[in-house]
This record gives sequence, structure tokens and C-alpha cells, in this order.
Amino acid sequence: MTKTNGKIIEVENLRKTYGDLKAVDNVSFSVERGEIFGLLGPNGAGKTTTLEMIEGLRKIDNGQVQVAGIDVDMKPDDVKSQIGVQLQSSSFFDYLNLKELLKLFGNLYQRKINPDELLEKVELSEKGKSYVKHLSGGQKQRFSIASALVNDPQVLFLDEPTTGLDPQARRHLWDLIGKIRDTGKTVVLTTHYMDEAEILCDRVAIIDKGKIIALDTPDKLIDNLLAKGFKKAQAEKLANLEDVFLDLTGRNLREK
Amino acid sequence: MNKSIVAIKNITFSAIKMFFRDKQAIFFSLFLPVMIMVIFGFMDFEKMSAVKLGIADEAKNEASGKFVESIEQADVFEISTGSVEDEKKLLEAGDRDLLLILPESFGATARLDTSGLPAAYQKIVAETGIEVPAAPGPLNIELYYNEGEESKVAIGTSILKEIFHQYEQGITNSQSLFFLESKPVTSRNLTFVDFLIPGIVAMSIMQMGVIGVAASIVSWREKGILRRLLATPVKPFTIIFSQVLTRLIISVLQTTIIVTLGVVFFDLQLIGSPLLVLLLAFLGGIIFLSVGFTISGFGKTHNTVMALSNIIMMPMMFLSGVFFSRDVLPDWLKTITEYLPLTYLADAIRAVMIDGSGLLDVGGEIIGLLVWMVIAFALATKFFKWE
Repeated sequence: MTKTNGKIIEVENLRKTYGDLKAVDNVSFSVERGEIFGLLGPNGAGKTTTLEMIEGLRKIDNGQVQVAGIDVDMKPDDVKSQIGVQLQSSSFFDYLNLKELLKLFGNLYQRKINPDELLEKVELSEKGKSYVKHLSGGQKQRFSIASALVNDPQVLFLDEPTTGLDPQARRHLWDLIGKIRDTGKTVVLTTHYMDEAEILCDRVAIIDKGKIIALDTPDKLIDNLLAKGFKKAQAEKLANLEDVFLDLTGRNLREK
Repeated sequence: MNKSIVAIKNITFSAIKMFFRDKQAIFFSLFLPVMIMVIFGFMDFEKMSAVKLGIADEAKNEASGKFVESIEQADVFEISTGSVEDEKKLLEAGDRDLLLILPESFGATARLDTSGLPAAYQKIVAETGIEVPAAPGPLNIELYYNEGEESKVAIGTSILKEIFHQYEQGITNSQSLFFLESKPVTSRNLTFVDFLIPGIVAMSIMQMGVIGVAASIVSWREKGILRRLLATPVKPFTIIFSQVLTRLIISVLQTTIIVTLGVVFFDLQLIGSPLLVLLLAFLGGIIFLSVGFTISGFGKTHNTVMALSNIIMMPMMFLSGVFFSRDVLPDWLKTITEYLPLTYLADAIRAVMIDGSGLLDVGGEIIGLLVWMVIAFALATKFFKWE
């Protein structure tokens, strides 16, 4: 079922047009098994559209996508059962508690799951009987990730997982995403935060106007820029305001 | 296929659980119909048709007292007594339909004037003490009536005439040529509640289908829940089918609760087959669920969906014979409303529940429902959207 060359996602000449707008314009890239891959780009660049075509949520106009060796266009349901998806600003049913929601999602994959184990993984053990609407922003995102893990997926897709979170919650989520990668899963995420991409991602693709304009490790991309003779207008201090904020308020999560 | 069935079962089970935790949903689908039933159940609409009769008894003698008593025997009247002046004012204010004035001379009698009669007659009269009305000729009795209450006045007047006639016969001892013998036949005494409850059942099925589905689909769509579900291998059909199944199950439950409360607390006369009622609830459910799916395709937000739902449901609630018979509608409107889906549903459920009609007796309504089912289903397929 899986290819041996280490590439878990292969995207070739992917296109999506809405009328005259080329939302995704001939995009090709591949994701290595076990890496955290970032899709960066301004709003409307085509990140989410690209992601949703790979996830089988949006019809592919042109091109080919293979996930774990399965063609998305031909067998979307097979792909869906191999991946876990956290959508941008998706929410859950109002009147089911976290455990019930996880069980329901497990059922959708024909799986019997252990909700406590999953909640433990995302540090929400005490919230099993709560409704999603009573969770904090960071807890919601963590639960959303738990719901994406019910089918023990090979690839986890996270669409802007830390948008709207406070610095503590963001860092906490980074740790969690790192741990998930360490269990052997591949993570594909989109983000607007360059610090996040720099710390978290093994490789990033920068998308603008539907095209990939750069793809490499964060380190390499920075080196390339410096090699062009780039210099910051002002020499950077050894700490920034976020460091000040975290120093003053602590790194502990502010929830419960 | 087997996989789908398991998924449908699980989603349906979860959806029912969600319904029972949603206080607002419970209020609108269970509490509200029951409340309407309770309120109307305690109302006595027969009072509305009572003829309000004012009596001003100026004679205040034995005869007038007896006469008023005999009027009180007639059930149609809601009688009040007072002075001529007061009662007239009340009549003018519309608080009385009729005002009967018994004049001072009512029932006054006098010794029969025997002068000029043969002596033998004079002797008999003197011995028996026969008395005759004091005034010669018929006594003029005034009956004022409220011009605005034509039918009540007509009923009241004819009954009063009859009472006078009997009274007169009693005095004059004359023999009737005819006797109208009314024979009572024991019939089921249907009350307003018997009419109302089947209507409420039909109305609840409509609301559950239209609002239940339209509101939840739109909220799922607005919150991104539908997208999240579609990111799993579950088939869209499975989600729709579970939603349909959930609403049908709740509708059946709702129907059972309303009818049970009706039988227990309001003496609802359920003589037809409960199974047939549930079959009709099922047919109606499919129609209104399809309407709900159609509406969810047109409305993007919760508010537009609620507005659209009410535009469709409100006229039907009042024109389909839910709360009152369509007989009160003008002929043209009565003809048009005959073809509304809620009319078919309410009429059929009512016929089965209180008249004990069988499947064939409500065949016409069932055909009407089936035609609507095809139309509504086609609309839902055409207009329902995931995004």
C-alpha cells in the first residue's frame, strides 16, 4: 500500500480555477514520511485550497495527488481513512461531550477507540465530560487534533492550528505537534507565523498567487536570502518582545 | 453497505442524544404543542355560542318567577337579570344578545267578569275561583335584540317564542294538534379537544421536519461541522439519511406523547388505529423533512432559514384546519387550501383518530400526501447544498 521511497504525499501539476481566478496554479511538491511540512503564504494565496484538494474535500480540476500511494481523485474515501484533518475554524456538535464526540468520530472510521487515551495525548483528560463550547481556544485546538487522531492516521493536516492563541498556548501546541511527529506521523500544516514555521517545520513551501515560489528547509531559505546580500535594517537584539512577555507571564498554560 | 448501516445507527443515536440535551429544541417540539393543547383544552368554546339573555322582570310575582325558571331550563341561554335600564345599557354595550322585559301586568289575573252570564255559570265561577288574565287581548311583551348577533338572536327568539307558546297552552288549556317528539340518540360527544389534538399532531410533524432539519443543517454548515464530517470517509448520503431517521424517530415520539397526554388528561377519543396514525406521521414527516432540506439550500444563515420556514409554515398553520375547521374560510380559499400538504395530513390524522377511519377511507389524503412527497423530494434533491 505504501511506497518505499519515503515520499508519503506526491502532488503533481495541481490546478484549481474559480472562473478567471487561478486559485492553485500548477503546483507540484512532495512530503517526506515523518516530517513536519509547512505551507506558508499570505491570505488567499491558495494554501487552504491546496490542502483541501489533498484531503479529498475539494474536487481536483487538473493534476494528480497521491497520499500514501493512493490516488485522491480516484479513491477519496481510502485517502480519508489514512489521514487526519483539522480544519480552519471548524467546530463540533453542541450537545455531545468530548468523549462522546471522539467515539462518534471513531465510528465514522468504523473504529472502536479509547477516548481517554486520546484525550490524555492532548492533555484534556479532565475535560472528557465537557462540551466543546466550554473549552478555551487552545483546548479547542487540542481537541480538534485529538479528533483528527481517532483513526491513527499516517498524515495529520493542520490548517492554521495556532491562529488566535496566546503565546503560552501556541508554545504548548508546538510541543504537542512535535510529539505527534515523534510517534512517526507526518504533519502538514499551514501558518501565517514565520517563527512557528521556523521552529516547527522541517521544510516549508511558500505559496503566492496559487504558485509555489520557494521550497526548502527554513535554514536553507534564510541562508539563500543572506547570500543575496540581504541585511536587516536594524541589528536584531538577542531577545524580542515575545521573550519579554513569556519571561513576565511564565510559560504555563492559562486555562482550566 | 453494512458499514453504512453501522454509521447511520451511530450518527442517529448521537443526534437523538443531542436533541434531548437541547433545551430549546425540547421546548419547541414537545413543550409548546403540549402547552397549546392544555390551554385550548381548558377553554370552553360552548360558552362562546351561548345566547346572552337579559331579563328585566318588572312584575316580580309568582307567575313571572315561574316563567323565568322555565326559560332557565333552556341550555342555550346565559341568563342575567336586572332592571330595564341597566339591562338596556348592557345590550347597547354588546354584553347582551337579547333583552326580555316582563311588564308589571305579566301574570296579573282577575276574577272572571260574570255579569251578564247565566246564573248557573256565575255559581260555578264563584265556587271554583277561576281567574283570567287581567288585561283583555294578548299582553304586549317587549324583546330587544342586538342587531349584530343575527344568528344568536334568531335562535334565542325562536326558543323564547316556543316557551311563551307552552306557557300560553298551560293557561288556556288548549290542546295541541301536533306533537314534535324529539328522540335522543347516543352519539359520541366530540369536543373541541378531539378536533384540536390531531391538528396539533400534524402541526408538530410539520415543525419538526421543516425547522428541525433546516436549522440544524444550516448551523452545521455555518460552524463547519458538515465539512469536518466530510473529511472522514463517511458518505454524504449517510449523514442525510441519519438526519431523516433522527427526525422521523423524534416525530413518532412526539406524536405518541401528545396523543397519550390527550387521552389521559383531556378524554381524547382515540378510536382509530394508532399504527395508521404513525404511518401518516411518517408520510408527512418525509414531506416536511424534504421541505426543510430545500429551505436549507436557500438560506445561508440561521435567521434567513427561520424566516423562510415561518413564511411557509404560518399560512398552513392557520389555513389547514389545525386549530379550527376550514369551513369558516371563504369558498375560494377553502378550495385552494384543500390541496395543502398540512391539510391532507391533519384531515387524515383526524379522520383516523376520532372517526376511526381505515386506510381506504383516507386513501384520498394519502394520495395527496404521496404527490406532495414526490414534489418535495424533487425540490430537496435540486436545491439542497452541502456548502
